[in-house]
Amino acid sequence: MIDILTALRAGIGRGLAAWSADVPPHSYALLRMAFGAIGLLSLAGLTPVSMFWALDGLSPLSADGTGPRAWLLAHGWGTLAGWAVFGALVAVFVALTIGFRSDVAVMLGFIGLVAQDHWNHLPLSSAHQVMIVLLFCLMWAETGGVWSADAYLAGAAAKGGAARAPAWPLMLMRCQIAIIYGSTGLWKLAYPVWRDGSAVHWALSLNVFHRVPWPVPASAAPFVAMLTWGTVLFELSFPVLVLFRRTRSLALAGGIALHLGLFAALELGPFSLIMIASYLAFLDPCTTARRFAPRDSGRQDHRSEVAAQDAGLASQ
Amino acid sequence: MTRHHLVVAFIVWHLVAIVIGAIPPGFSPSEPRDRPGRLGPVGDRVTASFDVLADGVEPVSRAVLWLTRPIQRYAASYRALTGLGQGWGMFSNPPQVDQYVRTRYYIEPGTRAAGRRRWIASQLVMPAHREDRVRLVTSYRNSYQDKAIALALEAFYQHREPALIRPDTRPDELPNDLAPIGRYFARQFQRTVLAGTDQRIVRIEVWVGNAPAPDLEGPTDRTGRLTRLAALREYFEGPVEQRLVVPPYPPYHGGEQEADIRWVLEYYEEP
Repeated sequence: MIDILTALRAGIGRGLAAWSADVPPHSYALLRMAFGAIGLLSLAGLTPVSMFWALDGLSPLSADGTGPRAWLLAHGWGTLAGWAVFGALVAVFVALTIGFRSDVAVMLGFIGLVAQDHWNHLPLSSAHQVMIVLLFCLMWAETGGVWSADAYLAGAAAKGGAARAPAWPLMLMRCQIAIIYGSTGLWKLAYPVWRDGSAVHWALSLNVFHRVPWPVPASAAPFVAMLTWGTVLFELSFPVLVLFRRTRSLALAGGIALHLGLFAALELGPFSLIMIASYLAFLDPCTTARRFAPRDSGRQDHRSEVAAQDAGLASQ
Repeated sequence: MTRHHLVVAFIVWHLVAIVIGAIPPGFSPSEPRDRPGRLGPVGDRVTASFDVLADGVEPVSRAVLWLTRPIQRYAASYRALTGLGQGWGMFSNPPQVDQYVRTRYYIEPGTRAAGRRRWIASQLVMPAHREDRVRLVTSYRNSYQDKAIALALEAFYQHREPALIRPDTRPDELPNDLAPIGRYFARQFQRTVLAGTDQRIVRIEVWVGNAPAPDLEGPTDRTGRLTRLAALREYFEGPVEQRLVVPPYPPYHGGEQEADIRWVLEYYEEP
């Protein structure tokens, strides 16, 4: 009993240490670049501008004819304003991808995505919401320390010393992703179609989403049922599996398989891509830094320091 | 209070707020069955196990929601303010029908075209991608159009009072959620098909079609599928024009049958 309590106390101590540790900034840089590129891809899907951004496009009308959108539309600026919002978001995501004024770009990216939700929420799917919650976490981190125009302009690479960044935004992002899976698993468990093994059949049959136009054969029912139950179990167990280093790889491999399967079977826009990209948050930041370190010069000391200081974080 | 404590307080509050928002508000019970399911006894046992799991989880989630009731309003405000208010129930209850949306325009000739009659054109706007083709590249962009129409439809059904489902409902009584759909595609039609003429659209309608999705059990209804595709192929080629026999305006919520698609007039306006 005492052993268990000691182990528990040690585990909690390691967990708290991991949240308050400092880590190399490479994971943040990878996430910034991935989210920037996916943001641009998403904007490419939201074209033509006249359809999704102009206020007389597929955009909700004001119920009472008031508000800034109604005012812009009434004064004939609906299209111009739409182009302005679209252009601003393109600029923000370009800056995010290349790491120009990175911290401001991440914050503007988050604000821009929330604003986009208010501008026209109609074409926005869960992929957009995932981007919002992940950029919210990334907003608290230093993302431009490496692999960025900021670092290049500041000459940080030449000096060989990228500053370490607090780990808690990364841990927060991990929690957020785990909550998404746990929540979606609970929602699925709440409906009989997932419990009776038929949900994947109905999802694959939806004429608006299915990737291939062939019906699911009745003979595949047992396989489809296993996919249905497997999905629920995987999503419910994901938050626990990613908690421990030993099972984390299994959870991430399962998640990649799930999202590649979704990508192959259904047209869901950039959803699968953003979920897989979010797994970058689960990579050990020290390993990420070490893996890419040979490309940077003069980092031997830095690598040693990273290896020594991050043993605690990696074990979480 | 130090910066460290502020960060800790923020993280704890943030996690509590998003966890509260992530819990489904209720669980739907399974319907009792009086015969073995399609997956046989093994499938029935697994289903029963999942039902037991759901029965065990539901009180826990209800308890968490009950315990956090005093802070739920603040948590919801925080989530709304920070744009984190999304639920994560993706595909939790997938529709068991195929859905279609079409717009219909009634066109009248202008003053220069004496003797010409009114005609109508119908355009399939959802799914944006031909459903008889593999979705590869262009379907990526089309998925945004489908999402926009699906969400507009969802909002329309939420806002429309049941009492409005009667033949003489006027357009100004209906919620305007489907207005952007009808207007946008009507404007496109005016710019492309009616360009250079003095014809004008005098009525815009939005029809929603439902058709049975492929059944879980039994063989696929191949004939039914082919008949539906034959009906849809006309739409795939572009707006379907009716010039010879022009029906009168249908009553609100009137229906039409095309193959196994049941169309219902959900919204209209007369610009």
